[in-house]
Amino acid sequence: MTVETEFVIADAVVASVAARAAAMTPGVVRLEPGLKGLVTAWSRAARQRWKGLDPAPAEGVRVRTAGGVVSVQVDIVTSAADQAAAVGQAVQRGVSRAVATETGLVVASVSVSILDIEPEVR
Amino acid sequence: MTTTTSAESGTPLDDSTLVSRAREGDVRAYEQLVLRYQGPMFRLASRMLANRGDAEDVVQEVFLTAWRRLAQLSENAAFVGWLYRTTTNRCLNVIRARRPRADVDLDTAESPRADIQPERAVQTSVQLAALNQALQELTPEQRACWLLREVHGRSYEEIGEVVGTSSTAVRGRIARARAQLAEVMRPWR
Amino acid sequence: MAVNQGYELPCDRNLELVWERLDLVGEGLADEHELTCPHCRTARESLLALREATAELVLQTEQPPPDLAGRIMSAVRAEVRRGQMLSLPTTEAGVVEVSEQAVAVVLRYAADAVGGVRARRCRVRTVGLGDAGESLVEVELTLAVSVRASGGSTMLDLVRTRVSAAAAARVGLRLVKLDLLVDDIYEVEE
Repeated sequence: MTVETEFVIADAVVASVAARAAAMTPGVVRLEPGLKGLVTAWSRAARQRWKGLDPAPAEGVRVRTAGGVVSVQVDIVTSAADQAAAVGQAVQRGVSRAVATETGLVVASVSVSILDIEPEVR
Repeated sequence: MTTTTSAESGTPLDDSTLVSRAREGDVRAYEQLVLRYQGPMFRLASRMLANRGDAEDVVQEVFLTAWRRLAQLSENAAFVGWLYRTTTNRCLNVIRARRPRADVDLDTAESPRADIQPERAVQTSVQLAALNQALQELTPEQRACWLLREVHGRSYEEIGEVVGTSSTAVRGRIARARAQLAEVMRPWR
Repeated sequence: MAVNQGYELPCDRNLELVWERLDLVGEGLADEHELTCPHCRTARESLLALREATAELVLQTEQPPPDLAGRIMSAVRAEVRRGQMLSLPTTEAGVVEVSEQAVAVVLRYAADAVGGVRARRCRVRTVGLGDAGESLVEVELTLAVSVRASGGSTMLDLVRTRVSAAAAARVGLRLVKLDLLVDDIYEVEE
């Protein structure tokens, strides 16, 4: 079932592209995996084919493809030097743009969770 | 300290109590509900979808959504009914979203999995195999009505709410389903 | 055909009626028609087979994969961890949120910037959503004050100003209420 396989490979690629775009957004200190070391592929089809894929899906980023609709979730740590809301929005835009440019996929939504804010050094 | 059995007798807690605690954020209580109802929901989904992998995905989503929606439950007793309704609706959506196929495959796309129970390799009775096949020939709505009533014992009203018709119409669907299934079962007697 | 009636046999008997009378006939309470009609007999045999097969189906307790419950509970626990998330405004599709702990860090830091004050605990409570999707919050900030502090109410006013400003400028939340509690005094080492 070639179509199914393409879908699942795209998930891992989208995750990598999204992770890079998020990390490079000004104000983002780093990506922060909520469950450290745990990479979960949600759908069974994804789990079956996940092994052997290189690179492994990026931690701190979750890509969900359901019914052809791609949604991305990113967990980040921001710098207190920038307004958290502004950084969040910048990540949303940056990820959408990067995924569209590098994979051609249209992302329906990018959700950002700012798990921590690192204060500036005084 | 265990939160999931009553202190007095160590008997498992009733659904209502577990739901009540889960609503307060008690994750262990919710886990008991998952363990209790993942079986029936999985069986409903796999018989609706004729595919264990799809059934697994549906059940995962249902239980995660149920956790998020706990706060919106009107009463604790509504939880199980909600599970059945949501599982059925998701299955109907999956079926609608599938590309039309000439014949319905029964798990043919699956790769072998190491954790498949040994029983699965055992032949189900010829009679049961015939029933399973016949179920897939019903319309999805007929199959849903029949399974919810005959296997899961839900009320006509509840089934009506799931598929969006009156309980009278549900009875009609089940009657027609029964006629079709009986027709297939005929040679086996 | 009436909705409730389902299916009629060639002898005009209704199949649902045959179904309902299965056990009665089995106990020898068949009526004249049922005893002789070949259509009804065939229907009964089919329905009995169906009933047996259904009973088998009901008893089949095929279990989901053993890791399913674990996966569900991992996701549930992850949701709990993110439970204390506050909404931030955005014009893009999707949700931007920030954890309560992160906000507490920022607000405590802002309060600390005021001389003679050390922030201790910061509790944030969401009370609503603004038009742009930003959370409206009530904050309770617990402070320790330096034993040498001379500011009095001016000092606390400054804390109030700094914390409110930080909530908006550093985070993007709307502070609707700010309670300052001074519950300790600290010594300043020379």
